[in-house]
Amino acid sequence: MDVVVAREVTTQAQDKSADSSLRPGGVLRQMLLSDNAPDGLSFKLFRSRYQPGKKAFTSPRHHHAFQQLRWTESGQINYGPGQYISAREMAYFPRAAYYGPQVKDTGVGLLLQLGFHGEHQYGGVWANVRDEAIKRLKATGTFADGVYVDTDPDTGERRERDSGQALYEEQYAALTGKRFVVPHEGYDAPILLHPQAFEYYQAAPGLEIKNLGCFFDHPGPDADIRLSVVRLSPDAAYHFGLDRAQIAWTTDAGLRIEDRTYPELTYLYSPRGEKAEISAGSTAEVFVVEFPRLD
Amino acid sequence: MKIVHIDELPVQSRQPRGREGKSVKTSIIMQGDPSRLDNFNFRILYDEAGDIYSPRHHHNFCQFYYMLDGDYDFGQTGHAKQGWLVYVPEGTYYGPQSGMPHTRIAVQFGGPSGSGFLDARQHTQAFEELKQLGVFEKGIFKRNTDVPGRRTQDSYEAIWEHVRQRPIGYPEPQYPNPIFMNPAGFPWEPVDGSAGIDQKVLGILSSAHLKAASYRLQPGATFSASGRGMYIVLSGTGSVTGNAYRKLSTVYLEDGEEATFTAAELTEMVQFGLPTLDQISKEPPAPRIEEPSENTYATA
Repeated sequence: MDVVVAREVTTQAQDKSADSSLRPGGVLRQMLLSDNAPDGLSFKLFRSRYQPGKKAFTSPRHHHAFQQLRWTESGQINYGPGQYISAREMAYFPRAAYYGPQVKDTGVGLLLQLGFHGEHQYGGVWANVRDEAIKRLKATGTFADGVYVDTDPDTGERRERDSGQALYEEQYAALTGKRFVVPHEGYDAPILLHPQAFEYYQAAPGLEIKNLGCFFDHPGPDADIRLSVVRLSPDAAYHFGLDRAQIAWTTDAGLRIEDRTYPELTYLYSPRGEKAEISAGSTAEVFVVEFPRLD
Repeated sequence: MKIVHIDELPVQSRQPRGREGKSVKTSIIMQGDPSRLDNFNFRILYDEAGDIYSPRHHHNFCQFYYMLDGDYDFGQTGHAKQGWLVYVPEGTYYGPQSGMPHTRIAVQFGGPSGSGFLDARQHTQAFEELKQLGVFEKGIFKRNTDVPGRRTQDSYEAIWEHVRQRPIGYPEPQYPNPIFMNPAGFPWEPVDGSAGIDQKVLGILSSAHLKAASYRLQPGATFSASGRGMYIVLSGTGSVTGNAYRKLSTVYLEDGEEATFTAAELTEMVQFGLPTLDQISKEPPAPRIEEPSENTYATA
């Protein structure tokens, strides 16, 4: 199990030249957890403090081949015209569903991106081709305000693409020789969730759970992403199973993992195939995401 | 298990009961037990003129819609297209809904908050009684000046409060927007251990774990359905537990019941899961603070 604590993670200002999405903005970010797992899962979890004015993060209306989960720690964070995720609420961004344009200029929140087999391209083999891909894109077009503009080689017409999408297409073609395609969306739009509107049920002595929903962006009996909140009373335990990779986080101090007690804003990743147990010295509320598995 | 064939049902002009849409026709497919918190109303609506209208509003019950034909606009909260399934959680604001010619199947049901669901007879009776106390216009009930209570109110709210004789309470929505699902965007997957059966699970929604799914049965294949909910045949023929089914046959299963579908022709159907009583709160949501006191609820 990987465990990180916010106050121990370096904060970096968003740098357009180094940012994979090539978006405008000066977001202060902490990269918390990531993996490229043997079963094809790729994810990254980062914490962002959005900045006002010219440092606001903006993007045009767009979509991705990967899934996202956003959770607001404080303030409220925009994800479309008139659409906000308030503190301790979350939103599930389904694969291929369009959203935005967004202006993220206030609030602190988590963003989890995940996908399989090239849907999400971060680190690992993707890092090896990223710089060359950006170089090729810049040679044949321009990035501006989150949009990549070039000339369609077949028609000679000017074309605009979301900059992140353009980079994904370039990287995917470089590595696989195939065209990157975002599938048709199953869900029409991001799904906003109010965890506080769900009641806990007692799963075991001292252990309460809210199941917030299961969303099926991939086919298969275990291909759903499962969202829940766990409340641990002192000395109660919650177990992360072998069968799925899981991400969890808490804003409460006192989470115990193995022999260490962790402070507030602790984040953990339990890979598939590993077992782990968490407990709490005092009552702790833990948000849990169970990743899909496609086999 | 109950089975109803929609093509055998009488089609009636929809009684407006507070909402616009005078040309809308409907058939009630099934109704639940109004004495139970899991009561439901399951019907098909034919809006051939596209003149149905509802203002932006919310309910203290849940809904599933399946769009058989045409589109239905939910205003700023979305747009349902032919073949789409929509889940509207209790407490969630949606609309304004405006007219486009369409046909949809709708099930309205008491949700996890424990507010229950008014039965159609209660609803109609209250509507007639309230007409003595005010007028219904574009989904709003306007009380006569000499009648105590709020001057204007959402028509369903007014009817609900008239029936229950207490202020309505709304749960905080678990999902603050309707969820629009396009089954065509989900791939079919084989169901383990069931030869010839494919499924698309569209979601497990709310604290009541409401399952929304589509199923495809190859000719000769057998599918075992279970869990409280509705199964609506969209195409194909066959039998279900000794009864013939065809396009728009609908099957309701109570908690603990099972039904076995055997396809004679390639069959597609959609499932709306419904909550079981143990998933429904026994304490309904508290009334809104701004509501008038109990003694302002006049009766006709």
